[in-house]
Amino acid sequence: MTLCTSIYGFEHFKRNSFEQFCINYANEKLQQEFNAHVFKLEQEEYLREEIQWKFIDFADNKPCIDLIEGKLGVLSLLDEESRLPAGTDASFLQKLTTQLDKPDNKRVFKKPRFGNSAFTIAHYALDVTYEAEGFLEKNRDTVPDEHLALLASTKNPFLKEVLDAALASVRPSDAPPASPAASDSGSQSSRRSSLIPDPGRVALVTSGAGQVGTTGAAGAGKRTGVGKKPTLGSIFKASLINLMDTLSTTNVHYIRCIKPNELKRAWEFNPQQVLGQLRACGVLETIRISCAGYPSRWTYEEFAERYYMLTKSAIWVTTIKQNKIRELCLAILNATIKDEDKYQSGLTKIFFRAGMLALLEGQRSDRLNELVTIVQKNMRRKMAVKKYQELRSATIRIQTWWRGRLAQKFVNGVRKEATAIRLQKAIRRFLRRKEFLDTRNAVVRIQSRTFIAGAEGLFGAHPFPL
Amino acid sequence: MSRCSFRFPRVAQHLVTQILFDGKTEIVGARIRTYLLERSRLVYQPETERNYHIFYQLCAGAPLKERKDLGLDTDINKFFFLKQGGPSSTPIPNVDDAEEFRLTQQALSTVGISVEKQWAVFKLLASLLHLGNMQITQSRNDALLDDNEPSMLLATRFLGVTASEFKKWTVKKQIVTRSEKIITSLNGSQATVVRDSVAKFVYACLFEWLVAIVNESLAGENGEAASKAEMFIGVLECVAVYAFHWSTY
Repeated sequence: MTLCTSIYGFEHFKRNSFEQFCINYANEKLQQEFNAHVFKLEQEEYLREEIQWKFIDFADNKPCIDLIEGKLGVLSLLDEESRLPAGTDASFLQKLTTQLDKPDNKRVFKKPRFGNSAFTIAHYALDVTYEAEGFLEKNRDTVPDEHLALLASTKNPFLKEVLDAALASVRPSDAPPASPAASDSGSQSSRRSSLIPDPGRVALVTSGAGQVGTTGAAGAGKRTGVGKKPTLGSIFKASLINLMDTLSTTNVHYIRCIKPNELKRAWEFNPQQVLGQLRACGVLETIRISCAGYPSRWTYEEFAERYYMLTKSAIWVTTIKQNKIRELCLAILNATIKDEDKYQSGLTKIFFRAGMLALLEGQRSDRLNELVTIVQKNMRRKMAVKKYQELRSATIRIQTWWRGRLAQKFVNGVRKEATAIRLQKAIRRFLRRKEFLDTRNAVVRIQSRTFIAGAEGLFGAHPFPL
Repeated sequence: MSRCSFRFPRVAQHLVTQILFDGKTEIVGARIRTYLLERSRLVYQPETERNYHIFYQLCAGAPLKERKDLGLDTDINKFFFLKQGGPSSTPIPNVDDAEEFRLTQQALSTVGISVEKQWAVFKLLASLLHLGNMQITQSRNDALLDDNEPSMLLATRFLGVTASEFKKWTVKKQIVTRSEKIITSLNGSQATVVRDSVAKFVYACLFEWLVAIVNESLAGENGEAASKAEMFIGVLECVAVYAFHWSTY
């Protein structure tokens, strides 16, 4: 079964009266339930995981609830005073002070420093000072029998129907024992009974129905329990207890709604107001309870996955390969948390004291930073080397090319020179040879002329002139 | 102080809606229950807050004839039970009470309340407003209420009770002992408390009646759903009033 509860907040006004008292009493009860619920869940988990744990002390608001609803508590004193014809708010306050202003109640009940018209109750959220004025009247809040009889005699058929319906909605078991007549009138509702507990049916008419019942009977001359009419406080208490009974039969889930600002504006956040609400609805207290035990927990798998890097890779590589997650986790814990009281290993989860997760997270981020630095270092080195090598090979290529060019130039020069020399040599040779031949020819010609002339003289003229 | 809580007819501080399921997780019906019902609002509203919306809707939305018959007025300042929240409490910006009244009537028809019966409801509501306007005065230590006090006559007429009896038991009280009955006078504020307690009682009964009708309509024939139901999801709706006016004394 599921029941969604939305608890309305604590009330603390400039002047606090019976209404605030009732509302804050309801809040105390719901807070107690909430605390117990949160606490129970915690303990169940500890038990299930079979970890060693000691009972954790948390700020129980039981003393405050006892002060309000206990045997000699505020409500019963109020009822007692309300039933006295001569009771007044002042005498009620007097009674409160004499009965409750004791060392035992020192922490929950206080007398204000000034004046004697008020009393202070230390609620779980904050101390609230209630003005006693009006408490009695508001608590009595009962319709006189004569008026009830008058209403019952109405000639308005619809009012009659309404009164009857209100009567019918009260179940016999819910009716106060002081008014036996009510049980008869309530029996009509039995057809409504089902498998679902329905204690809420008492609500407002408990008193009314009882009274109309008794007055009905009174008409027949029987009058019972006049002095024992339920008061508003007792109705409220009964209704609250019924609500608690319903709550206890269900799986409770809590959603806390926080009003971020008074003006209903979007994106506006008033820190004081929000903090006040968180405190008033007990969220801060719940966190405190949670912190007193083992507030953080990880399953072994999750823990190993997040923190494996806190051990040496030699350990985690092998343990993960062999699927020994538990060993890995213990190795991580040994390496990180020195104080063994700070954690507990359950069956499937590891439980941590407050602050341990922050410690682990710190170490994890340190470790990761360190590792990232190493990766960065290597990467940077690799990049630098690569860049250097590219530069170097490019340089060499340029040099090679340039040197080639130079060599080609040189060789060309050499070749041209050699060619030029060869040409010069040939030309020079030719010129010299020509000169020589010319000279020789000339010589020969001269010589031959001389010879011819001689021979001509001897042999006649030359047949072919030179 | 939160005004968003006024968006819906604020009839109860705690309403529990249960959605009922049978064994096969089929929804078979729903049921509303009331816890810790707030009633004091009927007779007293803090600054900036309204009484239950239905009263304002009724005053704004009732047709002329009915308004006259029920002794209502569009000026809510004529009713002590409606004006205590001060001028900032009503009207609510962007909310048309007359239109809301129309929607409320529609809703009441939907859950199976005939128009005739609706006006019977409104008549009772009007009687409560007149109760609030009853002039109780005090001379010396005794509460005084005129026999022909017009508001009282209207209220008692609508409630169908005898005005003289009503007057008597508003300003006097009877203590019954084993042997005799002693009748004493109340003072003005005590008589007002009696008046208020009657008004609250009638209102609470009326509310309970309405819840029963709604449950009837949600639970199917003869409450069949409730007997079939094996599981339920409950939504406990409490009006969140986080008011921290830090006191300085």
